[in-house]
Amino acid sequence: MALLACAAGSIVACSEDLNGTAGCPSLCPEQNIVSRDTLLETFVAVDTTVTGYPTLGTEALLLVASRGDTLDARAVIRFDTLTQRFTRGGADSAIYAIDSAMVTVLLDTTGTKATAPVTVEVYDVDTAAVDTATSVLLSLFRPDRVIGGKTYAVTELKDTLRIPLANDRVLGKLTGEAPRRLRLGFRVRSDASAQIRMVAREGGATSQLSYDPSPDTAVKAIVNTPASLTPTNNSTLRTDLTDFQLVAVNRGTSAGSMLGVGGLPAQRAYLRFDIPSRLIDSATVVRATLLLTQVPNSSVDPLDSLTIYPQVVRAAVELTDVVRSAGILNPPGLEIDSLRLRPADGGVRSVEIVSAVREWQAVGPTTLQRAIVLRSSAEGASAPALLFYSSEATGDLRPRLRLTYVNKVEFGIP
Amino acid sequence: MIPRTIIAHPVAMFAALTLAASTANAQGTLGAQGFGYPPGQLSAYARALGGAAGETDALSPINPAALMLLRRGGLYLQSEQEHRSIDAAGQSSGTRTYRFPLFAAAVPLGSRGMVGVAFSTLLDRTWGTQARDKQAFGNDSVAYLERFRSEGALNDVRLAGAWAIRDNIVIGAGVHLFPGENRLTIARVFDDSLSFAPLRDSSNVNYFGTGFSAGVLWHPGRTLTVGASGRVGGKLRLRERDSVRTTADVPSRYGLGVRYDAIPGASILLRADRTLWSEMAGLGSARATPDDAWDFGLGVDALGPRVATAQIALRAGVRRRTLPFLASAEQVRETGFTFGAGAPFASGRAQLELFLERAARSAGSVDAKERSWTFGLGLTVRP
Repeated sequence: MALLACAAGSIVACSEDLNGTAGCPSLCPEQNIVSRDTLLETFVAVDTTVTGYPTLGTEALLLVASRGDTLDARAVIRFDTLTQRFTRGGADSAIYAIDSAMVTVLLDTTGTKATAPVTVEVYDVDTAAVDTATSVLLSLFRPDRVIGGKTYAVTELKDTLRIPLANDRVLGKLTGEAPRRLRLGFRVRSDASAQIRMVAREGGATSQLSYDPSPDTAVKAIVNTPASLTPTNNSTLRTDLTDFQLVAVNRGTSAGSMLGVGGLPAQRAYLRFDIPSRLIDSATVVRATLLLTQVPNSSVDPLDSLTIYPQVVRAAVELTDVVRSAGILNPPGLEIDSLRLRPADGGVRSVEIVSAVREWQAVGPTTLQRAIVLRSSAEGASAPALLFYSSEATGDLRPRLRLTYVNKVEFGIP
Repeated sequence: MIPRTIIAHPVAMFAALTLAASTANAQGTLGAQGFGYPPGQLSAYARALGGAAGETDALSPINPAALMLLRRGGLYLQSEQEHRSIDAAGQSSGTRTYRFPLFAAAVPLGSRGMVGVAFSTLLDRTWGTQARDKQAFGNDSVAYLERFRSEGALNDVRLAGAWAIRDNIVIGAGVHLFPGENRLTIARVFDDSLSFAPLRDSSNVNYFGTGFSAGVLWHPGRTLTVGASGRVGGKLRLRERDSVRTTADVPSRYGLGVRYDAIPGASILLRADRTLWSEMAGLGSARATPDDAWDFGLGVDALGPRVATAQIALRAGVRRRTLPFLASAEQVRETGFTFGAGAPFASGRAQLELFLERAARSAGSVDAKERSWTFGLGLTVRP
């Protein structure tokens, strides 16, 4: 019985712990792992600046700015469904008079820049013409289209703005000819450079258009939320166009032959890699550093830091449209850490992309593009832009890729 | 004394086969240099006697002539559990390993013959290490944790037969195949995981070799048994990624063992064995230097107390040997003291053998001492 008990105990105790820590390195198997470094200067298959992101209407924030002659940005919010009737004492009635008309918007106060009182002007930008054409919409920001506005002291620019509207103009929309809707354009003016940043529907905020249909205090004000009813043939775009960004002037962020990131309209830098197969497919890459040379840019807010997300492109190899490719991305922070850079600074910037390289190694060369995109975290709602030298630059100024890799480790044979 | 048991208990049989299917061997870093640690191809009974019964034990696949001692045949499975500690350069660590180093089966061939097959571990290359260090990348130096693990073994599959040519002389011969596989993995994880991706790699090597053995068992007198055997190794090939990388010879060996039944119920056993490990030279790199090894054993086997109807056997032994691969150019010496017991159960149809070994290993001037406790269990079931 004792022997059987020992046998049972032996079976139950069948667990291993193999990891010895003493005796290394003298007694541990010798691991002569030699890492090699190489600096690639001609690895770029494509590098270019891509605009058009975020697509119209998908902005999370809307910048309304008047920054002298360098930046003039505006925003549009559509209220295509307006409540035109109200109830008083149990009786339903069409609205025939209103009071206290106003539009309420939420601000992202981190984007507020003002040193002098700021006037927020609201325009009626409804039109029967092409309703998303920037030139058409900008032409509607004219005095006869002003429908409301207010001047705010700097200290009044808090997280909510209530901008009064002209009651008679709003009532005219409610009682006039169809379509009975309001499409409001926002613009700021100030004696000094100024900007506010409104939170868009995609950013989780709900602006409101309200008016009081009766002097009777028992009748509550009517509140309308943003909505778009056009275009009628594309529900996604229709929803997106509930609010959107307009850029009237921006003279400071065009990348030209360089790679631009950020700015308005927003830019993305797209870099597609052509890494030799002997490095990416046959060796084990333990470190991959993309070296970009930043060019000082003194346009808008050059001292403001920008958070840059390098993101891995998930577009298929067969997709040759670079603009579309630059929009098919892994989430930020998944493979590559973000960077914070100031437009005014210059010099070599290191982006650690080893996780992306490992992913390309795992997936193989025939499935996904080996490309990354650099984009701003405040894309579409922030004017500062970063510039980098592209592959058209010479020598050390062009993008370079420093790889540290280990060839196949030989350790099977003692 | 060989295990004497009777019928196969179905539950014990199932348990034994289940354990055999989950084999996991392991060795330490001082003893497992080169292609690994040699458990010795000894049964639990022989291990309890310090290996001294190797030439005269039916269950140890050493001397094919000794197979005749199994008489009615049977099935045998052995397991071992080792707790090992190593002190090296002021550091200490411990490991716990589990292995199944021996499985054997035999059936009688008439009244004077016996055939059997045995699977045993020749060199066990299962171990793991974990170490912290730094690696330089240009101007950067990054700390890392490296885990290195090896699993697998070079095994010996022996098909053997024994024939009693006279009442006191048995001869035997065996054909050996030496298949094996080592699976090695390395993982180097850098502390700065943002900039440095882990380095992971794996490697598989396979072995295949052949050999022949022959032996004799002689009873010159009623109280004396002499066993002698030898093995001649054939070619041993190492393959990696389906290509033959290196070739050497399976190590040949020869040995002599004596059992003397000094007084009724007590026996003294002696054994000397020489394995020509140097024939493996060239199979590995210059770092895996094999060296011919002696293995000496002395044991005492005595009847112990009777518990119920079972007669307990008590055993003790001492073993002194050298290991096949040098550590830092020094020969590794191993000294072990063993104790054991054995008893029949299941109405005598099964036999359980136990041993406990305390071993110490050292290698000349190498600043490392290795000590281990090994508990082994062998189960024989017989028709």
